[in-house]
Amino acid sequence: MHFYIIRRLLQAIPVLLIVTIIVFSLLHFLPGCPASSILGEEASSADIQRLREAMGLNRPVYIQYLDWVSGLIQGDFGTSLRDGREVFPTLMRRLPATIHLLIFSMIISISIGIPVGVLSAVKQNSPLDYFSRVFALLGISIPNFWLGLMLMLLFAYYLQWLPPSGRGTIAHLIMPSIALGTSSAGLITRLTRSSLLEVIRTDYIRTARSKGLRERKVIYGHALKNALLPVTTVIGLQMGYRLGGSIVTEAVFSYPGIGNFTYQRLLSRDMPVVMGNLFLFASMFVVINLITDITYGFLDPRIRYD
Amino acid sequence: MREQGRSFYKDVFRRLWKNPIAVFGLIIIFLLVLLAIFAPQIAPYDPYAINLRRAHESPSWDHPFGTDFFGRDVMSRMIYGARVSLIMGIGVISVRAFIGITLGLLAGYYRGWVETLIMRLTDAVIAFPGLILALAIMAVRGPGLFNVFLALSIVGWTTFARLVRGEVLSAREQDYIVAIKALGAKDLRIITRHVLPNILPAIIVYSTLGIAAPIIAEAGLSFLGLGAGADEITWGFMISMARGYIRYAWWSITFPGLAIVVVVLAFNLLGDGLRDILDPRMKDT
Repeated sequence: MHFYIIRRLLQAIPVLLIVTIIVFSLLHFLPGCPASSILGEEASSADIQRLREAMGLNRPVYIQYLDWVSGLIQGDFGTSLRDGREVFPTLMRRLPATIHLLIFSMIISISIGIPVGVLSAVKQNSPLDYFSRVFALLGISIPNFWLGLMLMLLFAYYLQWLPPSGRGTIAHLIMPSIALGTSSAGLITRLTRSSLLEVIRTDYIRTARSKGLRERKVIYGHALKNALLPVTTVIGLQMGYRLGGSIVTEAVFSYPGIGNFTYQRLLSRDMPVVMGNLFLFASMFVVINLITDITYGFLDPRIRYD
Repeated sequence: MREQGRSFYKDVFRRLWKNPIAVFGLIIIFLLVLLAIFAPQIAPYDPYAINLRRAHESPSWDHPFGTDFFGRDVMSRMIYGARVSLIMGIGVISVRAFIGITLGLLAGYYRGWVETLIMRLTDAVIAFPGLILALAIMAVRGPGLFNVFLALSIVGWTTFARLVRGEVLSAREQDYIVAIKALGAKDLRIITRHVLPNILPAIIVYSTLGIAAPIIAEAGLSFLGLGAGADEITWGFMISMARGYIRYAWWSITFPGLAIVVVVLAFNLLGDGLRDILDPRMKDT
């Protein structure tokens, strides 16, 4: 097991390295000069030159890269172009709000997805199964920002049960979390169902049934444990993808998290903030995947010896 | 060989026809394509025609989906908006499939450092939540639908790359490939004539199911004001513009959003149906 963990940790390093190269080259080699796009089309070339110098853009590319990466390692993400504040602490201050949102939406998707998926599989081809499949398919087909707006329309403006935007109480978290968590809920439902159906068809379940175990015991004692293995991976992956969704959802609800902040800064082309956030999200994603894989290794011994 | 290939897809079509849900999806897609192509003939109003005296009218016989803040007919704009969604969905998935298949074939067939390099690159691209990478590209290149297309095409090919590489790895161990190789067939010929046709069903399934993601992503980016420009019509942008009036004109947000749900649902239904037929291993997933 230790071996497996160490191997996975080592595999994450080159990935993170390539991540830095991608983030860096995105912002440096794509057509479109950041300096001129900040200043707008009317800016004089002298102005652009001055800003390029201030941003350090006229140094050799590999120096800029090494400079940026060595900064990242020390937690120095540079300073904002807009307010001159340090990027890292600014991002960190807004991170907790986003993490609350992520966790809350995760709880919602798991607590809907797994039970509905299990019921759907156990009662395969019943009206209940049919209903939950439709629900799951709808869940993955609704854009989260639109769902957010619809929830806002109904619960904040029409019924006036929940606050339309902001942060502070649990009530503020409900609508953004549902908006963010619905597609994962649909996905987890589908996966739980199919995975459980597959396990139910295996020999050891037939054995368990034929030795006279109660159906309840067969499903919840034997089948479910194995069926949920692939679900854990998807939950982990979804957690990561949700970082992307959080930007849109936070923008809908004016939620003061890191996603909304980055979006605002993206509009004003505050590149150090955008780059820093990009790297932060990508590293979080890598770490979440790492934890998912290691958990999977604990749960399923077969994985470790691959 | 040829004859068999043809009858296989004929068989697929026959079985698809027996799946009412998939057929339902296909019909919706067909209708949407018609709407998009014949938008000028079908739309009851000019989608750009401003009529401030009729601003924010609720749905009526004249304007089934109401009018927006400029008095423009929401339904007509939605019909035109189908164009961007369909082009974005089908176009982006084609580019993603092309990139992913090429890289996957290279990695699976040549192994060695080529494979290592490609798979590490794949891991790194997967490490970005797609929307965030797309946002970063938009940040550098500026808003605009073409930039959205570009940004969404560069991400999301990883599924194809992984799928194709895995299939190639297992295919190259199979006796018939070994035999063809022993007969002296060239690499390119083996890939295009023997490996690719075998993984085509899986690629079709992934492509169909993958159309939803760029459609939703474009809508999201346009909603954030990073996609369509003021004179372009997309559902996401319609919602974005109407957002400030959510309390007074729910229809100009609700209906374009429903349109996104319908188109995404249609492709997912068709994709589910195709998967049950083409890839029995994945049935029920």
